[in-house]
Amino acid sequence: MSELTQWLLSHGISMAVLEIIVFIPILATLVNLSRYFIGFKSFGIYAPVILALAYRYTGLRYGLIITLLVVIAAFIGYSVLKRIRMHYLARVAINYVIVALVVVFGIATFDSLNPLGFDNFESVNPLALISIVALSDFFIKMYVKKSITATARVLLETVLIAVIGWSLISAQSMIEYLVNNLWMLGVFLILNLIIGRYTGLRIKEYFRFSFIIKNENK
Amino acid sequence: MKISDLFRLNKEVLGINSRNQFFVREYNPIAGKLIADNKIITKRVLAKVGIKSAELYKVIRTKKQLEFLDWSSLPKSFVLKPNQGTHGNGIIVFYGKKKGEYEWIRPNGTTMTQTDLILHIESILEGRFSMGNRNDIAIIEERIKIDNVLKPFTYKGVPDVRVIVFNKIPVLAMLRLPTKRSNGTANLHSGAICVGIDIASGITREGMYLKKSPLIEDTYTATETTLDLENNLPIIGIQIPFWNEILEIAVKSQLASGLGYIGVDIAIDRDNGPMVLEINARPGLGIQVANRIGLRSRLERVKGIEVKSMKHGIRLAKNLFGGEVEEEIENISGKTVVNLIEKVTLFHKKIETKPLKKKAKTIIKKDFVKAMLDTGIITSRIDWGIASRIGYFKALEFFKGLKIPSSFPTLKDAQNYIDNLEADKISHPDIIRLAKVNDEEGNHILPVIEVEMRIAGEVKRIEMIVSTQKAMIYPVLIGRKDLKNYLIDTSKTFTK
Repeated sequence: MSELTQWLLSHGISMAVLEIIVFIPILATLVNLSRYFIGFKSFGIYAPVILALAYRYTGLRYGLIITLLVVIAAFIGYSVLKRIRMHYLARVAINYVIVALVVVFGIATFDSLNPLGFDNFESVNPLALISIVALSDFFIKMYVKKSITATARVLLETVLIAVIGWSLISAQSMIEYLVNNLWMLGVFLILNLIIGRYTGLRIKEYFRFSFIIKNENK
Repeated sequence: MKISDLFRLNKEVLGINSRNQFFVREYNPIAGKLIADNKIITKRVLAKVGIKSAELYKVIRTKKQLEFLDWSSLPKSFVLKPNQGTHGNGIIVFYGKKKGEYEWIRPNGTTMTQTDLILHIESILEGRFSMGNRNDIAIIEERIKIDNVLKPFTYKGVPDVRVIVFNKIPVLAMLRLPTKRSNGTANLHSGAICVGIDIASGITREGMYLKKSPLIEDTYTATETTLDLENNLPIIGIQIPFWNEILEIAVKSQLASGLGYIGVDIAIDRDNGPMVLEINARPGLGIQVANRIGLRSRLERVKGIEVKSMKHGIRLAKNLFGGEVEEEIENISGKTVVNLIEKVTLFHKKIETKPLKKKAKTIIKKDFVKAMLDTGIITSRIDWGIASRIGYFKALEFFKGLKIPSSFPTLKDAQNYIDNLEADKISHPDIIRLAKVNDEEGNHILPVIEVEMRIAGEVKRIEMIVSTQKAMIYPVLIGRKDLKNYLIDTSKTFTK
């Protein structure tokens, strides 16, 4: 263990905090990379980072099933409410209520029926669960403005980034190395700087515009 | 796709990364963005330079104002918009009003009552449609009435023309046609058709629309006709009305807004002509799809050119980027597209003179004149004065010496006269034959000469009647005989 890490650990920083400090740059860099290099649209940078962190504490299987519950609840809730005339924030609030109910009863149903071997919901970290529920806010806000397909696509890409992020921060040896060599975080700084100045086409754009070349070759 | 193709694509196509870093960030100052992002300020700024936009009926800034809104003062048809909305979200168009009730009719036939409207306006005020969910202002403005030329191509809404202007030069343009799927909006992401436009002529090229696909975004399909209409019409070759005015408005808007790189949306109103719908400081990249042309290479070409005026910018655009439609027609028909009035080069007759100096130089002299392509005549004609100037003076003097009567009662008499002339009498090397001509001044006999000229980039020898007619506006008329391989574009009558 490096001296710096030891010094931090003996001055009010716990190991858990130190790990999160290391996770955040990794995840943020990942979101950055997927946006500007690949062209994935996520719900901002916060949502995928929080989701990946939540998955770390719930476990991927439990995390994904809760995500699914939240999304279904948010979607159904909003679609039904759309027909009723009311104020915007009231709509979002009611939606939260619906999501809360569906998640609670959904978990209970899964636990009692136990179709896929989910029987350990008690050990799911409540804070992690709330973090996943918060996803519904991003989902609804976009769904209000844009179509369901556009929203579903962004959601899918957000979850995909979160899963990749989860697998990165689950690589224990890498995390340990980073915790012991905190200077490595500077590398992320440089990496993000490079991505930030990248001006080429995003991978998705190559597909989007590929026919311009095809058209010329005709 | 080969790796070299990827590199080329990167050079030609403008992606979001390069748009933001090289163009939006570099050329669009914050003050300009504030104007573009705010519809009310946009209207004011444009009005100052005489550009029309939809008339503003009402501005609702607070809930208090909404409470005291005079509903009876609203016209039958209007548009309700969020002031800082994006992507056309939150815009509702009303076509009519139910008599005696506060209930307005939307394009799809459904109605909205006063309470519905209040709720929608409240949503706007709360920032549901604005960038970053900031509190917003609701505006009620004039509904633009669709122009008759574009009406048959449109499903309900108003089509618009998007022009990208950079450095005072219109770079790329497209027409957006609302469809049933786009629910009458001209928004590409909701399914409107985008059609590329040739900058020089304002004629549409091919069309594209967004495929409905839940997983892969931005995949476009080509279409040659409109969609979902009762009579689907071909969308290639539509002449956009007021094309020059549209280009001028686009450039003027760029100058007025202070933005360097801008997308201007212009709709054509039945009564008022072209009107600006909105200006965009971060115009989308779909226009490249519509035209199948990369924006980046065009922007790089235009960068740094010193453009003196609006007219200069438009002229540059037409010269640099125009002509795609012509090229397409030429590819299909194998014929060259020419203007009604073409500039031609007349080569002087080579006169063999005794060299004054020891070394004789063959200097090819040429004259540039305007020629009209006249399908009303068979043989081409040339003005007497010009023919004399380009080396046929002696031949024409010789013709004068024949003392042929200046006019004949009928063409038949003229033909008889030609037949009776002794063949050896008209043997001048430059005069090929004599021709009978009928014009406003009667029937004449005139000499025919062969002139070498360059027309539409091609050098040929053309038989021409030397005309004595005084009313010739253009010194050269090209007749049907020599027009076989050309298509004439009448939209370009006068070229300066």
